This record gives sequence, structure tokens and C-alpha cells, in this order.
Amino acid sequence: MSDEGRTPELPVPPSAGDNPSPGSSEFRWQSFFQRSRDPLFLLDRRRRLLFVNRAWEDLTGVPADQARGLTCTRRAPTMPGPWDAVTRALAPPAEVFEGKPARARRLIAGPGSGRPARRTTMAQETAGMAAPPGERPWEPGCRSWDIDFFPLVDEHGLLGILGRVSPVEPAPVWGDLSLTAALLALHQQAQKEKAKAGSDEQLWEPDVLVALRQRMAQRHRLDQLGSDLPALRQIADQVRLVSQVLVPVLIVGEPGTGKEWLARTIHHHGVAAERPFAVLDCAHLPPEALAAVLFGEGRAPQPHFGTLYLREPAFLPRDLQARLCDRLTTGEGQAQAGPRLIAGSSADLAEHVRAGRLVEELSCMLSTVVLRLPPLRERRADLPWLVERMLERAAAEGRRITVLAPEAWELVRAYSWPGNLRELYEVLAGACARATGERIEAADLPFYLRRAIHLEQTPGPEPAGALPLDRLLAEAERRLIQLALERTGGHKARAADLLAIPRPRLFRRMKALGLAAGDESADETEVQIEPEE
Amino acid sequence: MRHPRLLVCRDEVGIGERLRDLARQRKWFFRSRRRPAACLRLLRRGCPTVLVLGVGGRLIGRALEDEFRLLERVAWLLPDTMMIVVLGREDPALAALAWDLGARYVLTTAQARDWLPDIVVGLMKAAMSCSMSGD
Repeated sequence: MSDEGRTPELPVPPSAGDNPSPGSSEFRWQSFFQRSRDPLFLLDRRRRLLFVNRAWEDLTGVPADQARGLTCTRRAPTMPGPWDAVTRALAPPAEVFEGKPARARRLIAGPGSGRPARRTTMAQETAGMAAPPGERPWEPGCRSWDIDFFPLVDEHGLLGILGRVSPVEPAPVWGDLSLTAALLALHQQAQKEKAKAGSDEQLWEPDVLVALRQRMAQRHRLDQLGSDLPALRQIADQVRLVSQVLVPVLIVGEPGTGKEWLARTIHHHGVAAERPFAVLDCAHLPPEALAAVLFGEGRAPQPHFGTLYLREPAFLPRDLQARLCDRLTTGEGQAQAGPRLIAGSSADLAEHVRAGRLVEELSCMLSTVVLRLPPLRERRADLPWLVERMLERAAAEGRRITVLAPEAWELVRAYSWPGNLRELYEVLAGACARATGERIEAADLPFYLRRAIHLEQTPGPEPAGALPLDRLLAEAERRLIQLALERTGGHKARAADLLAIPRPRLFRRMKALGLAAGDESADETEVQIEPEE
Repeated sequence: MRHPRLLVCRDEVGIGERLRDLARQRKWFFRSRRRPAACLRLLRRGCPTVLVLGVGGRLIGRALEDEFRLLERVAWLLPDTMMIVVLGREDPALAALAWDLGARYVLTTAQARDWLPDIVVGLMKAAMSCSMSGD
């Protein structure tokens, strides 16, 4: 808009130390505005600040003499100044220049300074708990202002703009605090209860609880993904990107490939790290328990989660899937303060959609970013590093063993690891417990693993002449039953489950094949109740 | 696969008897321990396990550190163990910490009256399938 030839302008107030004379019209309106408790400001039609009152100075921390003449525009300034955040927030919307009043909500850095928004540290949070009521130094620096803009118009057009700032008070709920701050607040409450009760009992230490969270974060660092495989390097790059925005992430990988570990890693790297992480087992929890966490239903208030990891979301009941879709569509679940959703699935969600288990819309929404974890058999080059890490983890509770004997290594390298990282950890933790020496020997590894290698490597005897099919089938059946019994520690009912046959049939086949079937009822295990140690 | 086991630690919220009956009906092993360290020792004898930790409502005169340390250690060392926390007081901070340290479900005693058996049964299935596969 051209301002040339437009008259009159609002009178420019006197500069600092040059007060208007008592009785003048300027003196009267300035006194009126100064007495107001609302932070007020006056702009000319070129968006320059002409006047601010004391309440405005108190709110923004910008002295009146420095505020005068500043231009309030959303455009980035050519010369950055100390009050840029404030002047950007005060920029009037376009409709005000058409003579219409307007209201705008503006995000601004922490109170009083115009300094850039930043995350608070734990030390600041701790200090913040002792801060006077009303101040919340543990919050991230950003806060909001609602600003009313009133155009001042005469017969010639726009003269200027009067503005009023209303700070938006954050709702005083726990969700606005980080988990650390909430624990410190709980400790303060416990101290008060202790003082009131006149108790001399020892109180729990909040630092210890905070340290448990930090230990959890330490175990979920991106460098622990550690591999030179292109697939894993790509995942690391993607995690660095997605951790900074609250978009839904889908992690696909075979069972045991570390989907939950990766979800936690994204959480601890991300913007929601100060809030809690929760795993929700969609396939096994009852619907009302799932709804309580997903939608805050139920008698008890749910915590303000930072990240919700949905394990196998395809098994969510259909009505909850539809409600989750609605929530994601309205943006409620992914708002700045809402939890980030990460889904973990052992199969592509598209397969679940085809099978009619998963609503297609939800599948699309959860698949904004897809990360695929390779199975362990495709990352054998990582085995030395992974074994080292898992031995460290297993040693946390027991004896420290860091080496595998060459024969044990041979078995670990040759095995196909269908259970992936989970199986590798279980095998190594068990071997650590069994090992009697300073290293893990082949004999310390589970029998099924040694046998699997043996079966893979030992060629069967060459059949002479005609193939005795019945005998071969019986032999194969015998071996399968033996293998199932070994896998289940001799538990026949479980072995029958594993072989997907009824238990009576297993007993009949064992008898027919000359395997000792024993008493069928011997498998029933009684409930045992042990006395307190 | 080994036999399923239901382990109750620090039953300060009066859930043990109901869970003992549930275990009897389902033919699971049932154990109850007061000290978290004793629970951890039991858990090392690996089999599909649901651990229910009852955290009483009093804020003073208790070692919250021990209870939450148990969660953290079990989540890291025995990831197949499904942990449920029952809180004696409605406190979002404690609930949040329990979720964050690896509990698979957190509920108050009021919720536990209605939901706990179903949650235990569901998570026992998860523990049994985990011991075959994992996440």
C-alpha cells in the first residue's frame, strides 16, 4: 500500500525525557493508556511503534524509549536486533489495514526478553521448582500471546493501529511439565506430608528415579545401532530426521529385530524426550485398557505421554482403529503437545489391510515414515560387535564374560538365528550363566543350536537302491518330535502345540515310533505357592 | 516352552489373593515376594512370566527407588517379562515413570478391580508368544 499523499499521520510522541505538557490532548491520552493494566501499544500505518505503556514494558522487557520507532513486521529483518521476536509478534494482520479489527495468537520466546526459544536443562528444572508461584522456568521458553488489533480510522483512511496484548497462561496441568519436573514436584509434596506427619522416616531420593530414566536414555543411543550396512546407515539418517518432528513412524521387521529398541531411540532423540515413553501391546491388551491409554478414558487420568509405541496396531479392535483414525485426522494426536505415535509391525501393514484386519486409512496414517529393520541373518558382519554388546548387557547382573571360544564362534556364525537379536541375547545370557570358565565354550550354548548346526552340516546316508519312503517319513517324524520335545524342555503338551497336533495324537505317534510317551496326565502342572523367603 | 508363571511383588495394594485364584484356574505357577531383589532372582529362572508390582499409596516411609529400579532392571535384562504396575494412589508422575521404565500396563487399584485379570491373561499370552519369537 502506498502511503504517499496520505494525511494526516498520528502525532509522533515526544522522545524520552521530552514529556508532553500537562493539559495537552497528547498528555491526556497517554495518561489514560499508562494507567491501563493491559499491555497496550500504538503503531502508525507504516507499522512503526509510536507508543507503549508501562504494562507493555513489564510484559516484554523492552524499555519504551528503545521500543519507539521499531517496525513490527513478520518479515525477517535485514539487520537482526535484540527485540525481533517481540516486533514480529506485534505485526498486524492484513485485514487491519482494511479497517477491520483482528485478533491473532502469536508464539513468542520466554517472558521479558525476546530471546530465542530453547529447551530447559535438568538443572534449570530443579531450580525452577523453587521459583515463585506463577513463574515456570522449567517450561520450554516459548509462550503465546493473544493480540487484539484495533484500526484507528478517520475520513482519510487508516491513521494507525492500537494493540492490546493478553498473555496466554498455560493450563496448570501436569502435562505441561517434563517427567523430571513432575517427579521433583512429587518429592516436594512428600516432604510436606512428612513434615505434617512429624515423621522421621527416610524419604525416597528423586535423583535416583531421574537417574533410572537417564540410564534408559543412555541405552538407546543411535550409535548403538552401529553398522556399516547401507540399510542401517539409512535408518540412522532417517531417525535423525524424524526424531525432530512428531510425525507417525512405522517400524517393520521380523520378530526380535529390535523394533521396540528403535522406537525408544527415536523417542530419546526427539522433541518429546522429556515426557514418558509407553509401549501398548495392541494384540494382547483388553479393548477398554487400550482405550484408556489411547483416548484418556477411564477413572484415572493418564500421564501426558511423549511417545506411544503401538505394538502390532493391526490387532487393535476395529472401533478403536476408527477412533484413532479420527484423532489423527483432526490432528489431535499429533499436535505439538500430543504424543508421537510409533507403530511396530512384523509384517507390512498393507498385508494386514488385505487380510481385512486393519483399516486402510489408519495404515496410511501410521506409515508416514517407514523404517525397515533387517533380520540378523542379513547382518552377519555385525555379529562380533553385537555379541560384544550383548555380553556386556548380560554381564550387568552376573559374571563378566567377554570372549567366545573359537568353536562357540563357529556355531554362532553358522546358525541362522530365526529369532534374531532377541534369540541372540537369550542364548548369550544363558551361556554366560552356564559358563564355568573365563569364556563361553561351545558346550555352554544351548543344545538345540548345536543340534541345528549338526543337522545342517551332516549329510544324510545315501539311500541304497529304492527309496524306503515309509521308513524315511517315520524317521523324519521321529526327528521332528524329538526336536519339539527338546525345544519345550520335554513338555509334551507344549510340544504338541509346537507341532500343531492334538496331544493324544502326539502320544500315539510317540508310542508307535518307540519314543517313551509316559503318562499323559503327568504334564499337568499344579499351582505351586511358595512361602516368602 | 516352559510353564507360565505369575509373580506378584510387594503386594501392598491387596491384589495377591485374586491373582492367586486366577493362577490356579489357569494352571500357572504363582509366586509372591515382598522384596524386589528376591523377585529379580526368581525371574532369572527364565520362563514366560507376568510380574505384577503393587506400589502402595504412601509417599513417605517407603523405598520407591527399589521398586522402580526393579522395573528398569527387568526391562533391560529380561525383556520378555511382562510387567504390570498397580498404584495405590492416583499419581500421573509415578504412573508416567512406570510406563517409561518399561511397564506394559499401569493402573490404579480402582481400575485393577475391573481390569487386572484380563490384562494379566492378555499379557501372559504375549509373554508366551515372546518366548517363541520376540519384538
